[in-house]
Amino acid sequence: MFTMSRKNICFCLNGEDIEATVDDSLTLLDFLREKLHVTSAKKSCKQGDCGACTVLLNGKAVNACLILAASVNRKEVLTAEGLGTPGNLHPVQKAFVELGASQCGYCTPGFIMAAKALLDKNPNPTYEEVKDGLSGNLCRCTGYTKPIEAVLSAAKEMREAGK
Amino acid sequence: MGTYEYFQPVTVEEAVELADKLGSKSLFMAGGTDVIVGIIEKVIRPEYLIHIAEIEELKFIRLEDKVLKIGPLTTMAELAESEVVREKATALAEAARCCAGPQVRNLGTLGGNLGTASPAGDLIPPLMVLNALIRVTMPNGEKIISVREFFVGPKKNVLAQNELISEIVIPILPAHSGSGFSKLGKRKAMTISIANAASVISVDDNGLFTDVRVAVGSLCPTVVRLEQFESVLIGKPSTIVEIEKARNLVNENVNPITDARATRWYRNEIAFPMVKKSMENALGAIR
Amino acid sequence: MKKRGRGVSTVIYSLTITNLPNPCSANIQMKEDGSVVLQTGACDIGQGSNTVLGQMVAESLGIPFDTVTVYSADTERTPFDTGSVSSRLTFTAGRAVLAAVEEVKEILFATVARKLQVKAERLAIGEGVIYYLYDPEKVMTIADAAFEAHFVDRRLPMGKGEYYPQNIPVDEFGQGEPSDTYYYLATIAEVEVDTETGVVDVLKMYAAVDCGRAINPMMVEGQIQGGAMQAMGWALREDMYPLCTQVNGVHPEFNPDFRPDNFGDYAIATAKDIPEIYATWVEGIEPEGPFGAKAVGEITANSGAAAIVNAIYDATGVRIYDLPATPEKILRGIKEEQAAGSSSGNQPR
Repeated sequence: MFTMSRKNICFCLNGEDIEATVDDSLTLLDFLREKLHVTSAKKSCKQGDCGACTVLLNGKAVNACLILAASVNRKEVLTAEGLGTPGNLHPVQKAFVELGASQCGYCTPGFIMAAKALLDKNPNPTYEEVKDGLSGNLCRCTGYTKPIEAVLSAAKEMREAGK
Repeated sequence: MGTYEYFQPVTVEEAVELADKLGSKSLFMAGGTDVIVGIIEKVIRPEYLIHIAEIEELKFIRLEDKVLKIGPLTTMAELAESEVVREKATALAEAARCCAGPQVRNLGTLGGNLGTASPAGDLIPPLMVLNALIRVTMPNGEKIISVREFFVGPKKNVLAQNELISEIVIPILPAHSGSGFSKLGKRKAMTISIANAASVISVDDNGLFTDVRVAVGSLCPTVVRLEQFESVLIGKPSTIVEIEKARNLVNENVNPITDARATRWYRNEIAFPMVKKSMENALGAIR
Repeated sequence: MKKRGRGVSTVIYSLTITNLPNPCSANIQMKEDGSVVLQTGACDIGQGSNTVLGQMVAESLGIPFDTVTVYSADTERTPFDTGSVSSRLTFTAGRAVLAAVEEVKEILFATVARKLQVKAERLAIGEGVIYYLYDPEKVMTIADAAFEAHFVDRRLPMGKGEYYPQNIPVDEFGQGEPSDTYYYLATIAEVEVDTETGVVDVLKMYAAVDCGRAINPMMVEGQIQGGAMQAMGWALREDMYPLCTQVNGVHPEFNPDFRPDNFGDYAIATAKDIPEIYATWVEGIEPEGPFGAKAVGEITANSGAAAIVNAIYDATGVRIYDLPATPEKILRGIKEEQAAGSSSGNQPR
């Protein structure tokens, strides 16, 4: 009888150290949502095609559905919950709200994390560079125009605040 | 999502020994962008997953006197952003830049593209025209395989299950050479190629072709070099007009299929336009 | 070679379910501090009905938007609504909400009338106060009025509203009044077609909606942009029956195995595929609509595809009658045009 093998992991989630034991085949996405109840990353296509599960892994935007939880040992994971809180939104989150860049909201956490990764690397992106940075995130509602404008607006705010 | 045992070796030696010991039900995984999807779709069912992504010695880009050496765990994002790769292996950087999207590019690797061996793999035509060599580590030694001998069929390469790619070696192009890439998909990102092409072009002082190398993907069971087309252009002026004259030699040497993404008819129609586009890009990159 | 073309298309749309009763209802309670809770069956699926209905409450009661709390779409706790379908929510839920607001106003005005010793019919509400029309100095804040209503007049400022859209069915000649009103969309698309590959690049889309009063202009713009992108997908890429070619209505290549079952094969546009989208609106004020509003969300996807296909014809002379207008269909059309030796497409303007 096959007994699922498990691994002990210790990693940093949104600034907090977490120790856990995970099944070998558990994805980071399922681990975040089902075990840790950190649900901003959405389970949509489950195979890296839509970007709704985008999180930052050691600062890089990745699809959490393609990462095994066992592989994040000693790494840093950042989700939208760790980026800002309702009372203290990150500029990207604030811009998405204020500029109407979120409609049904399902893709929004993924967009925000992809935007964060983009702006961390390129604080002054052009319109085309923003399109490129968001090209791994699908959205049906907005037609992408307001999300792109929100990222540019947040970039401007962040540059001016020297953040 | 599948049931398997997970291993995370930290050296090449450890990885290869593990694969050798665990046998045919073990599988190497680098970025996971193909393997995880394959497991979810139940197309592959490993019992042991050997995750090699933590093997630091496989992550490098080294420019030496006559060759560019790239570690197989170099991600597509790193290839696209590396100044060295953009300058010395332009087609490879361009191909990496238009693979998928940013998230997948942060995970997908050069070695992984070779391992998956898809005829649509975007990084493969550039390696073909750059005459890349692939160093492979085995349980008891090493071997070097030319990229042209690496593939035997759709999603089939020559590696045994206990052999690991450890280095990709790209000879530096001579002066007055350039490489270029082109891709056609259903959309401008997050798309598997309906057809792709890579070219290397070298010219002499009079602008005549001294070397032409063209590889196409998604048009045959594996990526192929168009040798007939290449040889007819040697010595001709390096112009689009001359390239157009040879167009039939492209179509005569591809044999596309109809699949979910495109029909055989359409692939035949766009084969030459893709070759032409990659050669235009290569001409523009000549240094 | 790249050829450019422009195409235009328009569409008219009805509101509400035209052949079935489809009621909507709303409950409003103003609390003793003047803040308001709205309960409505109207379901916000992302199109923003919570926001718009909250705006309507705030605007009609003269209170700040962030003092309105909206509870919606809970079959255990909110009153009935038929559903977020048929472009009906702004109109029907808005009418139900405004009906409920009238009941709340009546209770508040009765309190203020007593307090200020004036006739209730001569009162108005706005900007946080209820005031006497003939002497705006005679005011009472809404919060004070709510408090007085609760504890002095002992009438809680609550309201219940409902709305049934009309469903007069059409007769055998297609005449009737199935819809309360209609709304309109026009789209112009500008495309560039690569004549070697048949690939279409949509460069620009201009779209204008007559939505009646634009209750939330930012959201109206967002709907038009999203709809334009969806229309582009239908026009060019999205296909549950891929590889059907336009050959006298026969589909020689269709193979059920090719049916897309993931977001990689069902290719909606990515951020890199979108055109420049210019969205605008005309406020054809509808007297029957809440604040003169009609609708916006559903129509926005419905003329873009025709505009794009017309633009492809303008660019290449190729007519596509069978969506999506895939590169293969366009390329086949271009080859037929070339074989016929015609010089249509890209006529000098």
